Amino acid sequence: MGNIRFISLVALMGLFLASQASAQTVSQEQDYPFTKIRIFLADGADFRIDPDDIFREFNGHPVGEQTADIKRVAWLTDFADEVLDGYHELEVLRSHDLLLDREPDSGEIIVRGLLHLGIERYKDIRIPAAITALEQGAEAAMAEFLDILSPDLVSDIYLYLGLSRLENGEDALAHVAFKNMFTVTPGKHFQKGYYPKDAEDAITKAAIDVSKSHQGDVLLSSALRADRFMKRHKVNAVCTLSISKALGSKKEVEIRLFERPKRGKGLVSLSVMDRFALDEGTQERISKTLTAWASCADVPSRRLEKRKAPRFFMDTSAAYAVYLKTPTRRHFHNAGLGIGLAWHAAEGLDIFGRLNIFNSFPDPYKDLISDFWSVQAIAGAGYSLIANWGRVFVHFGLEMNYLSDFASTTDPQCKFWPNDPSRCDRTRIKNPSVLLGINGTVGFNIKISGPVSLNFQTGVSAYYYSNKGVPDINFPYLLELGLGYAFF
Amino acid sequence: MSRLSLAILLALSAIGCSDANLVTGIYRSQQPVNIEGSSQWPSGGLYMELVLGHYGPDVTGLVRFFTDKDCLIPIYDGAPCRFIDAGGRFETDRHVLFSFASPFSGKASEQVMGASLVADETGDVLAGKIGLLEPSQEEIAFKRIKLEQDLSDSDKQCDDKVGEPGNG
Repeated sequence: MGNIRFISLVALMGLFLASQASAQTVSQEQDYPFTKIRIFLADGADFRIDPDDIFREFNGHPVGEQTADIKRVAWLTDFADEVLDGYHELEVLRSHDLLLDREPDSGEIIVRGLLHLGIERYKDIRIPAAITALEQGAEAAMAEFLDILSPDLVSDIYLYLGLSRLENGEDALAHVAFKNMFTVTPGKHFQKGYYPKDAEDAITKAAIDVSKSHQGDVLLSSALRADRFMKRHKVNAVCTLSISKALGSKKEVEIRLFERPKRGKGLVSLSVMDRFALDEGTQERISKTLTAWASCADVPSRRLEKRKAPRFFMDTSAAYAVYLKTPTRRHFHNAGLGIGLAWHAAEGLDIFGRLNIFNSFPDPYKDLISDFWSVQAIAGAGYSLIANWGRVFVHFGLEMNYLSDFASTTDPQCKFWPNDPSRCDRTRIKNPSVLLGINGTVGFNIKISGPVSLNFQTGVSAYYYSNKGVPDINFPYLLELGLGYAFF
Repeated sequence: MSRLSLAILLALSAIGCSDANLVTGIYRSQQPVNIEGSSQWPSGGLYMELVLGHYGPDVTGLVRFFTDKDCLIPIYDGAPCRFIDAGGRFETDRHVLFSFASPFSGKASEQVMGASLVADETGDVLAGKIGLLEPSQEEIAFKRIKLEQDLSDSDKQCDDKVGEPGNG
């Protein structure tokens, strides 16, 4: 009978170990352990505007379509994308990626609606109403960073805002609107003769203004705006690339890279600002600049962080116990299972709880009238040392031991006739059911793989209280061997 | 892990098969038992049944007396059953000694009988001597008919009053 019980326990332990092993296999299939840093690569802008070439004869392109001039900076931007994409710890995002991430009810819909309304009001010659709608559209677009993510949309808003301002006799404000239009889409061209002469003149003046200004810092015009953009789109860095005549004939290309602060506090910083000529060596220069940054970037794998210590340790084990003081004349064995949870509350300090359940085996003289179950609940604190190989600990706690159906006697009459009061004096049977005392345990965990460890611990308890007076059964010595899991 | 479990299993199995509980169960004599020096003991002898509990150094239980082997007819002129008064092992776990009152003695003049029996390796056969005061010279064999786990409460009932047959 005892053997069957033990075999059942061993079988249960085997099942448990098998399940632990399969869980371990799954944990080994984890992905790359570091999170990638997100870098947004803005669409490049070519500010080499030729004011004399803004209005062209219709050549098949729809009005306002950007011509092939922009392709050169677009090509350079794609090249920068390839360079950054070569680093597996960087996740390069382009405008369309961020637009895809947006909620369906985002402000972009509102902006498009306001543009549509503004155009309708402009065509109906309800100019003040058109200006109101387009001003609101421009404000909403800037708040949504659509000048970066959807520049054509914002460009149209500024175009019609400028035209409306002109109609309203506000030439200065019209100039500002057209200038903003070229800032957002510097490669914009129009069909010659489509707009009135005064509109063409105003647009040309704005083009001259933009072409003579340094526009390299127009994208994400301030650190505050860059900070808001990065927080909004959860990016760690933003890279912009532009070409501008205003920089001088030999340094037309400008590349900038903003980064969020390393510890998450403070504003963004300009980590990279490089200017160089637009010639055969441009690609190499872009590659060198970005490679130099990426080589020293604050990617997670390079961060010198203190090794993260596990916070919780859980273990399940096969357990053996023997009481060093018993009312029986010979010791008897106990086998069972244990489960424990330790919270690494501070460096070196553990708070723990443990539950063990045992079943007894008969003693040689059968002083135990029958087998019994015992449930040990221990809670306390202790010291632990966590190392690369695992952990070693010393725990001290208070213990309650509940003995179910424990009954012991040395009187053979009570063993042979346990239920016959005429033969067995029941006062000769000792049957405490609750024991209270203290427990001390030492043990160690050895890492097997990842958070899974092999656990061993041994300890002894001392009882000071029993519900039947002085504890006749005392000083259980425990050995436990099992598997543990560390939670970070 | 599995080796450790196997070792514990074997160790505990060994404890379970200890001789400390070898002589437990119901044993019945294979031939009539004759007791020298007892005037009331039938000349043809009595069949005896020992219901024993063996707990290491302690032995307890009861002894039943029958006139017949097959029909198990209890004796009618004495106590059909006696509790073992004192019992224990002698030198080894396989050698048990115990005493009980003669079925024909009253409380006023109790005759004590003694048994010295040795079990074989399996514990299924007990052989030895039973007699008044000192065991007789005649070797008696008992064969186990019930194991410990098969013993019921009725097997352990005993009415040891003289002249009130019917137990058994």
